[in-house]
Amino acid sequence: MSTALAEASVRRRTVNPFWYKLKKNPLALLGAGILAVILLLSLAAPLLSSYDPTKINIIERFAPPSAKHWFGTDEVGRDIFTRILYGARLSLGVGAAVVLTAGCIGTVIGAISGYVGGRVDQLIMRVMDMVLAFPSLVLAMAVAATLGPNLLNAMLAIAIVKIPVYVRLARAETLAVREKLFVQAAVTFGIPGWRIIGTHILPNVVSPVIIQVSLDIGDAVLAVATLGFLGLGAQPPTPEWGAMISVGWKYFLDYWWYPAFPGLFLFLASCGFNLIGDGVRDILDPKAAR
Amino acid sequence: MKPLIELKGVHKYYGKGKQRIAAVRDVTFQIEAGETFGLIGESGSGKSTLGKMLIGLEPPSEGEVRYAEKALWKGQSFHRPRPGEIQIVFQDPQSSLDPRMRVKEIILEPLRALPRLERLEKGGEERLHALIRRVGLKEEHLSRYPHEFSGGQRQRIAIARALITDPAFVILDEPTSALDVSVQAQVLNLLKELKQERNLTYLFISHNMSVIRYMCERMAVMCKGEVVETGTADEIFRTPSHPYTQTLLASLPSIFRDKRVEANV
Repeated sequence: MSTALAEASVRRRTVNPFWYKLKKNPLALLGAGILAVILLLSLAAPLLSSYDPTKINIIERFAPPSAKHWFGTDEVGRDIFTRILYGARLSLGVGAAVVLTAGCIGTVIGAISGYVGGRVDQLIMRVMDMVLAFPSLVLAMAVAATLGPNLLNAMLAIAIVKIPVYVRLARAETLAVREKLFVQAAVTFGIPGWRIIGTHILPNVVSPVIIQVSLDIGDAVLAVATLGFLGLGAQPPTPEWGAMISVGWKYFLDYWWYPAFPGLFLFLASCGFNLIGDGVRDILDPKAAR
Repeated sequence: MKPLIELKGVHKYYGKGKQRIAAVRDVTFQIEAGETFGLIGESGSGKSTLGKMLIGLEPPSEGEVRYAEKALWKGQSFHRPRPGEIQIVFQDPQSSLDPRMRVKEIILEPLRALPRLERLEKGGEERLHALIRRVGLKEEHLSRYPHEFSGGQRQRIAIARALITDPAFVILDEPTSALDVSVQAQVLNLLKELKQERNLTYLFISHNMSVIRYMCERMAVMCKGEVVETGTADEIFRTPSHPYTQTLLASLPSIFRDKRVEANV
């Protein structure tokens, strides 16, 4: 009994330093707050709004913001507030999914490239350099346009553009970890390379990758919206922020609320991710000044 | 009796053309089964490179490296005798243990290269617990991470990891030079006892004369990639023939110098 108590008190005393530092960073907390609000709103969308995000109601088209339609309605009478909430699910989910996919694939490729070295490394890195040489938006547009304009292809396009960043990051980190004695020791045991990559290299290169992921999600949300805006991403009537702005800006002078509210939410979400990303980087980066 | 380890005319070069550097030059010696063979020399004298050749990390550029009469290297490819037969303990216990693995996983890791049946047999709970107690740690340490241990304890973990496969030959690459002097003695004694109990053969690499003297029956002195003197530790300490060995011995505090040598001076 007494030992259990002692153990519990020890456990309570060891505060996770990550959360402790995060609490001391007001901007990161603000970012987290913004995102938490958007996330909750999007999850509670069916409770907060009784409208269907895709149901057309011509009679109420272009209704200005009011108690009935908080953010007004669009050109076919859909409630913009509702569409923004459902759009948040899409934008946040897609952004996170894209970056996580790119992060996982890129990290594995980078670890293999760095560990194996030699010609394999040269080949992989030159291909990555080629991808990086293009402006990322242009490349994403080209890929999305080639594959056909829909949301899945837009996600794929953004993921492909993001992969080289993770490959480089993971490779650089792998080159350092590979020289560590515990990797050399594993080699002397006769453990195959793929297993060394899995058990020693990957776990020791993930922290910078996590920082990069947290920095990139905001970027990816923006990129998804950009492709949507250009008509290469989600297609109507999907309630996607970029696509909403794309249609709405044509009506901006007469019905300002149509593009303004989706734009505002896109701005807030992007800000939130970037603030969190900066905070996480400050906390996890050992080189950053305390 | 046939030697366990045989090095014949071993060379190791780094670089090409004019930049070629010989890290190891024409090294020949043998290690008998059951002995502790000391390899001493200053930093950069090539002693660790020899260790790496025996464990499969560096191929020799020329010459033969044999283990139990079988060549370890054919060209650039390493022919491992039996997984776990030869093990190594590295100098720096800070970097030789993966910080993201628990002690239990670290110690059992070498078994992953063994066939399944042997792995299960050697990785048994009882055997693992006996081993961890034998190297001076406790069972509850198994679920901890390396950063929770001191340098000496980490080196004990590294020793347990080397012994889990029941090796016949262990390379000790300056196993105590990163440790405090008081801890050094404990680890050296542990290594000595383990050798007796398990009938091990050691290659003990060090730059510390007194440690070599304490541990080894026979030894070789390396200088700039060459073996300048080979013989029993007693002989070399009593009557060093090569000037380099004499310098090394002269650098020791007098308490370690052999009394008879002093009487001759």
